[in-house]
Amino acid sequence: MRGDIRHPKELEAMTSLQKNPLFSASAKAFSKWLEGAPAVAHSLSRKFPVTDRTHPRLFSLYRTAAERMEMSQSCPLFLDFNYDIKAEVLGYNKQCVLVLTSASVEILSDDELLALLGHELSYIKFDNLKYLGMFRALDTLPLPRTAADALVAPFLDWMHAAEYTADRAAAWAAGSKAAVIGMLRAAMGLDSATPEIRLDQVSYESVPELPDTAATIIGRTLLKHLIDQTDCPWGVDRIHELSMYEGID
Amino acid sequence: MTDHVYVPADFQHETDRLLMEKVNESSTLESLRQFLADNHIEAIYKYYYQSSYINVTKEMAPKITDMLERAARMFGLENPPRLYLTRDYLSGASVNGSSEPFILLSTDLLSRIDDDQMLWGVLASQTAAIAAGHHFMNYLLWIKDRVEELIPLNIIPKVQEILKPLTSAGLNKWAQWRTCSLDCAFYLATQNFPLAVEQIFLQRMSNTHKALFHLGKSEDKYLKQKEEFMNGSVLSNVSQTVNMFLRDDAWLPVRYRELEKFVNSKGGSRE
Repeated sequence: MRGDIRHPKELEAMTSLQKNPLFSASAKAFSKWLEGAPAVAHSLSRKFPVTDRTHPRLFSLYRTAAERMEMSQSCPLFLDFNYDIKAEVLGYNKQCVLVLTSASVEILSDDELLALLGHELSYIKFDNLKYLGMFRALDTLPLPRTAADALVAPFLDWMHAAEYTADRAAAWAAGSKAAVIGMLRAAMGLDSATPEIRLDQVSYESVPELPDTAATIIGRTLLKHLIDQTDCPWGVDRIHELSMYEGID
Repeated sequence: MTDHVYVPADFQHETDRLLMEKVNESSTLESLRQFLADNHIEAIYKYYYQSSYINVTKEMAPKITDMLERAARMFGLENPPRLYLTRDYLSGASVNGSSEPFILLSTDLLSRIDDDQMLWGVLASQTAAIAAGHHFMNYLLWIKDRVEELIPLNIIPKVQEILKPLTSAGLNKWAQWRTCSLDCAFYLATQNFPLAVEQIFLQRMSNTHKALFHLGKSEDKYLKQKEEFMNGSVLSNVSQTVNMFLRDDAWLPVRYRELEKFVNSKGGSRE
């Protein structure tokens, strides 16, 4: 893997987040809160473990993705019965698990699956799980409401840029940008089975940044809510950004 | 194909129209609009859709964009609405937005549509919904749900107060009845009663099962069930009424009945 996988905007947003005094205080609280997180136990009880015996093909792809990302250790992989195309890492540190939906396995090609797995593994590789968990849990963190609200904007900026980094890592895991684009496009509803749509003609335009005036706490809180509900947040913008990455074909 | 231009009065269900009037007459609507403008809510909404959903263009789907252009002419819109795609199979087709309305179409629904007339009817009825202003009502519904849920009262103490008249005006009830307007617009666009009935069941039955029911035709095997529903006991009527308050989707037999009434009023027939 090349050294330029981490998107400059992500590093910038991370630095800005870490300098925020509210962030430092809440990160400590969050680490304590997550210690002994039940993600593994929760997955063991509700989802299906992927091993070389239960699902050899998928397990082999998972190992390939981890090897290509130069990760000596990954975390347990589980399958969840779900119509969405997505994967997510749940938990924190050694307590984490990677959960992949059944629709992803049914619809995506092997290369696209490598991309999806690589995307999620990047959060582990770059030690971003704590931040990812905090972003997801901002609404329920044991923080004063106004403090949590004040963190929404810097977290959104980081989360957006972290997707760029994860997409670059996904391209390395899959061996091409095309596989990542195929995966993102499928997550947004377009795959080879979608009728009436010419996939080769789909365009991914750059989306203008939100004006600073729109960065009110209310606006950002609603945006976070919308993003939380989306399987492929910023998908169009991410494809546009990835297409400009020169680290891999 | 017809060059006739329809206005909302041609297809809008009376309950839909009355409820929308009530909401639009609300004295607090202007202050809500101001609140949304001050907080750039529409800009955020637009940014979110543009960055996270695929916008259908002429290059990628000429048949669909041609239909949208035709639908815009038929229902009197200056420009065809934007169409975004989503994987979410529960979404079906819907309209949303404020000054720049758009259609959101699930690709799961798209894959269920196996003929051009059905595709045309679905796109035309959603375009008609925009002509009737449903997009703004859906936008208000979203704001109502999200703002009440997310915004702390100590920051915006008046939000709930501003939104109260909207709630009492019956937005949830409106969400049920507006589907009847869409069914009528579908019929106007296609002039095909069986197809209009079929689209009521589009997301509820597989195409194979729909064919077995001969929906909307003289030998329609769903009619008996519809009559039983409409002429149920007092107890089942109470149950239906209670459920109407709890759910925001209209009952299929009610939609079927209202469509029949509309088609009869236009001198149409089953076949």
